[in-house]
Amino acid sequence: MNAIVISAFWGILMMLGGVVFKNKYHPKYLAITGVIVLIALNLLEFFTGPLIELPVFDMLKTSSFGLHFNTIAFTATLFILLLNGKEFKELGLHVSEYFGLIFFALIGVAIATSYNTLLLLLLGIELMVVPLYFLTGINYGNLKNSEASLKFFLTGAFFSAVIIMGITLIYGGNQLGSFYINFIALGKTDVNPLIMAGMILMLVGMAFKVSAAPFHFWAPDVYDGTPSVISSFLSTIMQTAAFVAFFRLFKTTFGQIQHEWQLLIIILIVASLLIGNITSVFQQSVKRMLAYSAIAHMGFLLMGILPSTDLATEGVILYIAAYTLATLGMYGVIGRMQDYTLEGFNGLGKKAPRLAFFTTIFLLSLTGIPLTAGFLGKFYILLQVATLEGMEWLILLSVLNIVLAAVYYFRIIRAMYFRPVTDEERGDVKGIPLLIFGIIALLTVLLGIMPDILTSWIYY
Amino acid sequence: MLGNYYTFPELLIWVPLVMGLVTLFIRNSGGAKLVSLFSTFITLGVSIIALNYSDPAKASEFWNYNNVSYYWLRYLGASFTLGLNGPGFLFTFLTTLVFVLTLLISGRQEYEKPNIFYGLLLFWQAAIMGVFTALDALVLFFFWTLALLIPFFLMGKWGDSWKFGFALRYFIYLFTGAVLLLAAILFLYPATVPVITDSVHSFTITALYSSPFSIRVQVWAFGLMTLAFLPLIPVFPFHTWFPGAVVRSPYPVAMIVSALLVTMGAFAFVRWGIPLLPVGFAKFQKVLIILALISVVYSGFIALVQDDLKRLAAWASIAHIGLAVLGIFLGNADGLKGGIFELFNHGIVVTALWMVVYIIEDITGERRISSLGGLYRKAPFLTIFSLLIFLGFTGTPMTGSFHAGWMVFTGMSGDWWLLIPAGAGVLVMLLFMLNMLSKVFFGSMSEAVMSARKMSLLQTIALVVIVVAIVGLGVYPDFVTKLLEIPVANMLKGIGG
Repeated sequence: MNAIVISAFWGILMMLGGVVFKNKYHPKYLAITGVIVLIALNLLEFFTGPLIELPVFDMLKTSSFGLHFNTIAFTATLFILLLNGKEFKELGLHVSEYFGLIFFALIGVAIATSYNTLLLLLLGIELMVVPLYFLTGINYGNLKNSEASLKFFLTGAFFSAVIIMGITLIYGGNQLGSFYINFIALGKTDVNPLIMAGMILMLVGMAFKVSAAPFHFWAPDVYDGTPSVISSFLSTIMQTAAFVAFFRLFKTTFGQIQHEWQLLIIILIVASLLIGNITSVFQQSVKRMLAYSAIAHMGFLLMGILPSTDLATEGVILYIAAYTLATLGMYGVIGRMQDYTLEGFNGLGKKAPRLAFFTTIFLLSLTGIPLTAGFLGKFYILLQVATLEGMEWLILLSVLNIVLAAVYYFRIIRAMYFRPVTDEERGDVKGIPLLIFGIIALLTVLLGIMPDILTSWIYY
Repeated sequence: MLGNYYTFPELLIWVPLVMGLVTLFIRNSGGAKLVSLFSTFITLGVSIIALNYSDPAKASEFWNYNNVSYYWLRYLGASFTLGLNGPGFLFTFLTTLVFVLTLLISGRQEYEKPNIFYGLLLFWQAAIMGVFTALDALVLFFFWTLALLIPFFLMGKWGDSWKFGFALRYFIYLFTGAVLLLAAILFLYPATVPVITDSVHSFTITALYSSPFSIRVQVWAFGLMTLAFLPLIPVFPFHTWFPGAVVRSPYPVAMIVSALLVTMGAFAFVRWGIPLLPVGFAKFQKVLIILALISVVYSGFIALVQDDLKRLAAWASIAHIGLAVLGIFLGNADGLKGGIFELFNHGIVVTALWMVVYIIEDITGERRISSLGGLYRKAPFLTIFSLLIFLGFTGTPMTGSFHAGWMVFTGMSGDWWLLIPAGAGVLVMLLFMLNMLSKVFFGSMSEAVMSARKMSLLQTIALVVIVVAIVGLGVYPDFVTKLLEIPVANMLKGIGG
């Protein structure tokens, strides 16, 4: 609740600030202050309860899981703002608006993690993506960028309509005639064709928002076309927040009828893992490769929906944290490269040893090598899937997908350390970005050894 | 005493880890070498002291010295459990010895960024130690993957050539095995009974040993473990990564890969595969024995026609370890004891073989057999020691391999269909060794040999140490066998190993 109010307030503040600020850097400082306040108040709500009680008629319901996720998402936003100093300079006149839009997207994140009715779910998702439609097109002189924005907007709007259709059918199909997810919570007996159709439509719409295959076609073009700051925001915070909404929907409303949707989710998982990983192997641009691998990561996360144990929830949180940290770190690295194809990484270990070292840690985490958070995230989820009946083949498939992921992630490591330098341009990371890269890498390793410092809070 | 405050398995992991971190900050080549050598000597000291506490009859008395367990991911049922017993003592000792010898012998070589090279070597030692001491399946997987990951960097960065991408191929090949090991662990997990009360299931080896696995789980898990371990050993037909990878690696890495990394794969069968899943093992036993036999004979013949000494050492290594795993796969008391003994021997004689190859290349600058010859006139000392080492390799009496080979062959007695190919394999081994010996050391002097320089003092010391070890094991095989009696008996009774 705090987060929603504060980010709305700060978003408006940023908008108005655009009139006042003459210096280009001041909006950035204000935005960073805003995110820090946001994190602090969100933590305050986590420990003591909300500052302001709004009359929301129980349409929003905060849970420790949702607030926990908010903290991760807001911290990730802070990291993105601090990591990408240079990119903001290229935004031109619209610096304040840019930050304002990020805050509006964060309202959407906070709503998507605490909705209690299907309408608020829709509102959260839309509030999250509509500012992002603008943000993807922020660099409007660039054709590729405009293409990405338009593609994202058109497909996104279409699938939002699909979600609305699904909500309508579910509203019509349940006996109570309610939007509240607790009331709709379906028993094993009361499934009817309307509900089933609504559920499938919602599944499709949400699968699009998390960019799970086969609804992934927008993702690579959009992530590739936008500046890497926005790509990192899209592929970490937006995707994982949409996933949390997905997760909550299927755990509460459709929790009782898992046998009905399990197969559909498994199809999504298998398709995402295979399409994401196999396509990534053939990419030459590292940015595009990250976009495809994001699809595969979503496949792994979706696996966390199958088992309904607390440990699976822990695994989901851990995976989200690991994926977010490593991915935004990688986009931070890409933002620093002139040439972000695989050749561009040649000899980075010599040119910029610190940057190469951090990249290695992020890539190891994304692959899922022990001692990094990425491994334990995968491990928690796989372990809970292993306790289900008849899932042996899925486990085999997913561990073999880890190998596929290793193929393309390790190619970057090989390029950085084993191949000779192609151009002599040096430029290592220093200053605040170095500190942030260091913190991200440290957190990645720390969570790979002691995941409890993060996961135990979902029981708070 | 030492063990009152720290347990041996902890020390064996922490010392190389901490010293590796220290080494990373020493930019000076000589300093990095000295610190890493010092570290390996400390670990060697620790493992020698640990051997004093290895008496299996007093295992319960020394329990606190050799076992340690920390809470770690306890709600999953894992714990950071390490322990030394029978074969564990042997192979940790072997690891420390091989690392000392490797660093001694390659002392003259200069590497780019020595601090990182030697630091990674020490981290690698810690990871290998972890595999030999892990008593928890998750800990095993952790160290297993790290032990495979570190040589990826060592091979790729300091290897002969980057063009072939062999380091990546090596890693992908073995990482596939590692994730299959993970899958096997995940299959076993739901069927385990917990030891720690906080969790529903458990990863600790005691829980795994005492859990009743259904036949289906056993077959699946053992099959996956086999696919994980066989490539590392390497057994035909999963050996294809091995010669290419070790030939292009720098010598220290090649030595450690062919002496220790492969031993890790076979050790995993002894500690985890066979005692854990006896029914699964019984189903696969025939296939495994046949693969091991093919491995011995096939790679022996390939070694026969090699011109590159490094390649010859690689194929010889496959042939030799084939004999060791053959003994293990026999599954009876003699076979197991002989196999584990042969595995220990493998570490020593293969290190010795690599040392000879390295010294030859170091002093002559040449490693093709066709351009070597008459080396005995330049290096008589090396010739005598090489002869002893080659005899030790092929299992001549008075060397450790003889006792081990004897036990393995006793284990096969009665099965003529095993004895004939295995005997042929040993003969081929003798043949390629003699072939190499006659062509490299005798005959007319080649140009490369004429300009050969002298061996360094450290290399001489290392040769003396390894020959003493080879002969020592031949004279006093009880050093190994007394440690193996109880674990092997337990394995056969089906109550762990």
